[in-house]
Amino acid sequence: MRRPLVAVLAALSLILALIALTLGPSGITLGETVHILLGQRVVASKHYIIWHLRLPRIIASFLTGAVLGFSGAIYQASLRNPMADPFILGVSSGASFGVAVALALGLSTLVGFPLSALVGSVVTTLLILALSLRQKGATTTLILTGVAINYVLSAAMTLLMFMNKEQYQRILFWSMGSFSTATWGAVMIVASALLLLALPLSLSHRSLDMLLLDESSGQAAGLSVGSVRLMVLLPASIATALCVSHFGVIGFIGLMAPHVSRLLVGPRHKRLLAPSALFGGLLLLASDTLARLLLPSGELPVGVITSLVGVPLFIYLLRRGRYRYG
Amino acid sequence: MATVEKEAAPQQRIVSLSPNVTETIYALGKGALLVGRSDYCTYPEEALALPSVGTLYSPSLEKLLALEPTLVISSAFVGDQLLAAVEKAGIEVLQLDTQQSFGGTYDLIRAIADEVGASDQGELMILSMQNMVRDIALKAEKGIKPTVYMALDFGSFDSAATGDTFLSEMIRLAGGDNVADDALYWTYSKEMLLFHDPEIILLSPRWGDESGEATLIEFTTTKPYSDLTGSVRIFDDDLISRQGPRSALALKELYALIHREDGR
Repeated sequence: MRRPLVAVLAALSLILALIALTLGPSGITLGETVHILLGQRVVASKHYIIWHLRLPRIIASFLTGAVLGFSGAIYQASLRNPMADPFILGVSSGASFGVAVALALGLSTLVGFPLSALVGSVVTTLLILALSLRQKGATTTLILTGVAINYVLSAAMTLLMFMNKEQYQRILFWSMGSFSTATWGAVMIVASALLLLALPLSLSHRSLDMLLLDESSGQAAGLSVGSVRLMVLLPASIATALCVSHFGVIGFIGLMAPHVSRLLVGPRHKRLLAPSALFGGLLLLASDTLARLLLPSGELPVGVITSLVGVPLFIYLLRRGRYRYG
Repeated sequence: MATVEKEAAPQQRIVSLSPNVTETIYALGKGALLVGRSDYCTYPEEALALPSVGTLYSPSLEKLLALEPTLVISSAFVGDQLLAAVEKAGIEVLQLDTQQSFGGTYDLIRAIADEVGASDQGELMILSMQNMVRDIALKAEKGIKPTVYMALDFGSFDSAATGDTFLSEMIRLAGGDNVADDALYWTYSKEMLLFHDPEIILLSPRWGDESGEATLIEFTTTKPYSDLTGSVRIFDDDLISRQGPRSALALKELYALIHREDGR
């Protein structure tokens, strides 16, 4: 079942990407799009829109969705918790807090949103890991520490926004997520994040299966549970942080994509990881395309669409499928 | 003039919760009636001597009541709950919502003038503003009309003077052809901006960047904005987007900004 599913998802993604490329407010026709892609001469502004606005945006949203879906599967396995998503270790609250601090200190034009967000999320994740590492029964401690730090950071961010109301809108808009700033440079960064994540972790799918068992069985099977957990959580967090720092916080994909994939291929990670990534990419690309098209000449935050469209689909799939987590 | 002057009670004490209201009261020569303002009421300078009750969005009810006003004048941004509480305390409330059109500026001035017993000064002010506006509009009518985009924010989300805003009307009066006229709700897409590639981009300085220099650098060095070919010009956000007695002057500035000859 795995091969056909991966092939189907990949083909669907490609078709959706091609459709998305021809859709947009500036009314570039299908014929013109094909001409532009083939390198033939058309109006310069249309050429620019296809090559420098739509194409990087489509690729960036797909790759970000793939990173979120893949990381979600990793988090759910290594924390042995079906509610875990890539943000539980503070990636999103840390990123938002980093942006709020940069704005409050007037550093945002100097360092830019992506860098402040990246620093914020990586520091937060390391802090949460450090605070919970020494404990036994580490998954519960880790999740609770993560939840607690998330609360502290969102309170601190609310305080900063309250004191800098003029900046409130910018933080709010940033944190809702948008791919409108996607450039080829950002595509390269997200692509590297996906490689950083996918290459080593696909090879360790057996360890991930073991992590899903309880800790003593894992140890009995010769697995150093703590260090494996750290080794998979770190790349997943950094890859997510790289995406979030460029495009803002996009919720739900990381939670939903692995669960939907599990419904289709079961819980073994050898089969689970690729569909999780592809499904995440497909869903986010579709959401971003809708975000671009639904207003006559403006844009909606992509997070609004992922939740409004994703949640009903998710609940439908959960209701009709036979679901096995571990 | 046939207007009946409403006699202002000598003990009238006014708190203004909006910068354009404060400005209008001073311009009508009734600044002495003010006993309080909001944090944002920073023009004219005399206003700074007044105690502030907080920001537009969350003024302190307690501070406001302590000033013992007889009248509170607010803009559309102030929450209804707060205004209801003020009314419950027996204080008259005048809420002005005139963001929709340039003509709304005259309504705002007239409403305030009537309230503070300066109807004649109000009508005179409106007449002189209308004259100035007519002169500018006539001049603009005859001249060339460059394509214009007025950016209020850029980055993750692009906010612009779209077709449903009074700023769009001002651009038209000042002889500009607003490319964002085809959009609504203050938002615009990068794709359409690049598609139109307007001749003139009017840029609002980011908060805290009074000269607008840092904003200009950020705009002109960030993709895709750096690939726009038009001339980017910083505009005085406070002057142009506040509807009040300086709105005609603001229009004149806007005309000058749009028709200024320079390189990028």
